[in-house]
Amino acid sequence: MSKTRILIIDDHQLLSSGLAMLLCAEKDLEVTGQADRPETALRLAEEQQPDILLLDISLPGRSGLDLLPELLARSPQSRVIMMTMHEEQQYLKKAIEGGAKGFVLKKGGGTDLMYAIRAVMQGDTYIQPSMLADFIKTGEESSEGSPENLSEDEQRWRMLSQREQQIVLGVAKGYTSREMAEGIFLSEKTVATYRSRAMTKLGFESRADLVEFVLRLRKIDI
Amino acid sequence: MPVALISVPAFFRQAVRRVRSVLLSVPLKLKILGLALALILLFGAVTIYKVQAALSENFDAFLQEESRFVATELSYQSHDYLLINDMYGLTQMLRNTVQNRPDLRYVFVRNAEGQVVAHTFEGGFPGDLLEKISGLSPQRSEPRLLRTNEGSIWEAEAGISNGNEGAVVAGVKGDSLRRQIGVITRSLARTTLLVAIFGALLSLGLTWLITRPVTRLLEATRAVRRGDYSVRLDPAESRDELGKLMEGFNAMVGSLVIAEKARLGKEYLQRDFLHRVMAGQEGERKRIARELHDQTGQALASFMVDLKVLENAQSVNDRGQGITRLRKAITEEMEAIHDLAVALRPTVLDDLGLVPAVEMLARNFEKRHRIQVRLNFLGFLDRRLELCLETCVYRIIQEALTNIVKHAQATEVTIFLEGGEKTLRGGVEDNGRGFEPENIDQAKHMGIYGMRERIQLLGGSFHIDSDKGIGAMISFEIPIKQEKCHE
Ligand SMILES: Nc1ncnc2c1ncn2[C@@H]1O[C@H](COP(=O)(O)OP(=O)(O)OP(=O)(O)O)[C@@H](O)[C@H]1O
Ligand SMILES: [Mg+2]
Repeated sequence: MSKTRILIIDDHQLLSSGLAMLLCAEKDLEVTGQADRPETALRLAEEQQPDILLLDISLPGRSGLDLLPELLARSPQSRVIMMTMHEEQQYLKKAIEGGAKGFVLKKGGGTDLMYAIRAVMQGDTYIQPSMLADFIKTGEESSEGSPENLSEDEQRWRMLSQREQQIVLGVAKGYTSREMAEGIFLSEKTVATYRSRAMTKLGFESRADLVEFVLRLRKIDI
Repeated sequence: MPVALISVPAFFRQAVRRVRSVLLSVPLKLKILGLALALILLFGAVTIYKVQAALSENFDAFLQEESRFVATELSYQSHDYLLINDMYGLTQMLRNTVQNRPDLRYVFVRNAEGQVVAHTFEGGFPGDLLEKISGLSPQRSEPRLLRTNEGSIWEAEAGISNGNEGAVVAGVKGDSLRRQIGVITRSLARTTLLVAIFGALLSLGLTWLITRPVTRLLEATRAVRRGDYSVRLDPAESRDELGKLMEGFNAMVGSLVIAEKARLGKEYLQRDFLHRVMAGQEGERKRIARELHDQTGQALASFMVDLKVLENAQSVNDRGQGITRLRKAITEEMEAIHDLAVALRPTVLDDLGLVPAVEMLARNFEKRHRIQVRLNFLGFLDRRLELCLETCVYRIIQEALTNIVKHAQATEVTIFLEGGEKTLRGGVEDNGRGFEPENIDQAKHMGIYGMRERIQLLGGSFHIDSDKGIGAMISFEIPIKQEKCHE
């Protein structure tokens, strides 16, 4: 059985040689190269077509996330494991979107990395367990909100609070602030505030804009 | 040689222009004085000319009439004297008449033969006059004009008894009349002169009255230009248009003072803000230095000790425990450093952009404070903006969230950002207790002032919309295109 070939892309030499030592100690793993800058990384990836790319996010001059699609283009067979100090969900999301198969934190100190390599080699995706819960949550949220599928007007509409939506509909139907205030037991001033806030959020300047918007949304009939 | 031909109208126009420019360049005082004098002198001259013309027109007619009248009158009286041949009496009578009539120069009487029998000439009858005597005419002839060395004399002849017994000749010179005309003219000229002097004095007084407020205004304007805003003019000094001007001037200086005060106030605030920003930066550095030294440094030192302990560890068990402990400590330390770095500058902002950075901010905020944050992003989709713009918006949202924690007692926050073609709009809204932005003492609170300052720096607008019942909302709109980004 041939060994899994790994290319390490990290500008911290101490860390990358430490990792190399750690990985080489495994019988089935082999570190074929270490790159400390993006250009070297691209060249080596193309030359070696490694099984696994260990990619740091913070590289000199260019973010590893930026580099990710390009690396995959040069070496399509490779599976990429992001390896970073950043614990923010945004990085994880971006990495997975970019085609990374694994995401581990450097502070895990190598243990997680081993799991990740094994999982990825079997065709799985590995995500740092401490980040997984939040990742699933944001995934749910965005699929629930799924703003990508909504029209711009729909998205704008969702910006408004329930009260604001109520007032906007009232305004579009032609009610005055006073009439609405009486209808929903708020002060006239409060109604006016809701209204002006809705306008600010929507970026409208006139009632006509607002009416047009509501009509486009088909929230009311004419 | 070519001659530059100037047509008459062109020349005239040029002259008018030159006079105009000269008139415009003399001081106001001279203008008014000149005008008054010119008017008075012109009026005087015209009057004198008119009077003289009228008088001399009637002058000759009068002299003719006078000579005829005197000759006729005397012809009746002379008749008796001639009858009794009293030549002495006749001469006396003629002399009396000449003395009583100042314009009468001479009278003489001729007898039927044409010889001069009586006359009023002192030193004998002048010879050249004798030559001019015409023959006796039976009718009354028209007066004739004689040019003599004494001037022109109108002479009339009247026959005695229809010319049968002789004739009386009277010469009228009109000296006294001429003198009188001279007197009138001189008196008119004197009057004109007097009026001119009076007019000059009057116009000087008037110009003083007019120009004094103008001079005051001028001085006051200069003072203001020098930066002395304490000058005020008294409009009661002249209650006309100039008085209005003075009032206007006072009002202008008043608003200048207010504007200047506002400017100084703003300058002070800005300087103060800068000071505090710098002080804040210094404080932040101090905090980081202490953190690095006290926290990170100590931790690293303790790792060294731990490593030494590991080196000396006897059993595999001890070694395993030591390693586990060390790893845990290092992990903790790494987290601390990471937090420190993120607080300083979120790398997400640089690496991924505004939207992910705000998302991160919001998620951390939710976790830490248990306040729900709703996010609305529109028109971004991986779009990156100028870094200074992203940083500005990030810091504003950060400060808004800090304020919400500190002051709002809110349970829900909405953040919205919309990247348009030309502008980036956005805002942070909470459902807390709201506040009155007018009542903020900018000397004590920097947060909102800083937001406004940052946005103004990027040419955007900032707005606070707060209602006691609904909560606060800050919103902003900033141009996407930034001329100079210092980041
Ligand atoms: N979201 C909010 N809800 C209610 N009150 C607020 C809110 N934001 C600001 N305020 C009020 O406005 C004042 C000014 O806020 P600002 O951020 O300028 O200063 P600060 O937060 O008091 O001090 P700092 O200079 O540390 O920011 C606050 O003291 C608070 O009373
Ligand atoms: Mg504040």
